[in-house]
Amino acid sequence: MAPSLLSDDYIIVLRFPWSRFYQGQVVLVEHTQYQLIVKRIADVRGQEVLLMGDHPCSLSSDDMGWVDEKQIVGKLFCRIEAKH
Amino acid sequence: MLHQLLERVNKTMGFETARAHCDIPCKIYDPITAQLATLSVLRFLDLINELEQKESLSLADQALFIRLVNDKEKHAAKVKDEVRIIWGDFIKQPQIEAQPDIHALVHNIMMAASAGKQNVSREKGESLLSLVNQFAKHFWTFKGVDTYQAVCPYPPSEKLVYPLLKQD
Repeated sequence: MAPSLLSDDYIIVLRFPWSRFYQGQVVLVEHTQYQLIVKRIADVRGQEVLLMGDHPCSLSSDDMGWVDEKQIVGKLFCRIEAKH
Repeated sequence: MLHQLLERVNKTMGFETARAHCDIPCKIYDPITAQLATLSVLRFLDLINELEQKESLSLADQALFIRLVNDKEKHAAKVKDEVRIIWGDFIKQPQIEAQPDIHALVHNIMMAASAGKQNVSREKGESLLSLVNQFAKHFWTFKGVDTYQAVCPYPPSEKLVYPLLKQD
């Protein structure tokens, strides 16, 4: 997710029962294949979101596939940047 | 400062770690490596069986026998590795939907390759080649590439599935 997030950063994510997800939001997802990952929402289709990484070398959206909103742990609320 | 504070809290409480790294899938997959390793298994089986024709084995023959068995096993393990990589990294839901038997085929290859390690029967090697060729055919179908069968132009001179790659 570089340059938005870098290794050793801390992030706080939030999810409320009324949370809605939109394109461009950074979310923490419990992915069936890649486990706990942080990615950006590339697209929304009903109750599913398509993920993308910010870095050009990231896993592609095709690799990650459409993910059910239920798998979203929360939206990025705050990033505590590590000193690099 | 806040980061340092969180570092300390993390050491005692242990936050959950999320991955956001840039996985770089090279996307270079080709079943030919598994097919060649299978041909090697067959070739070593042939050479082992040639040794069996001799009435007695000299010291050099015995040394050769040990090397052939070792290399047969190494190449059978390589078949498993190469197929597992394609299965784990390349094959995803769309491919599974297109070929629902792909998991069973990969599992059969794992078992046939193990049988190729355990035995010196040529039949075991031939079964493995047949399965790996099926896997190659599926792979090229996923890639939208037609295939053809041809006898490889080197020992053990067995039929192999090749991609029909055309140049525009």
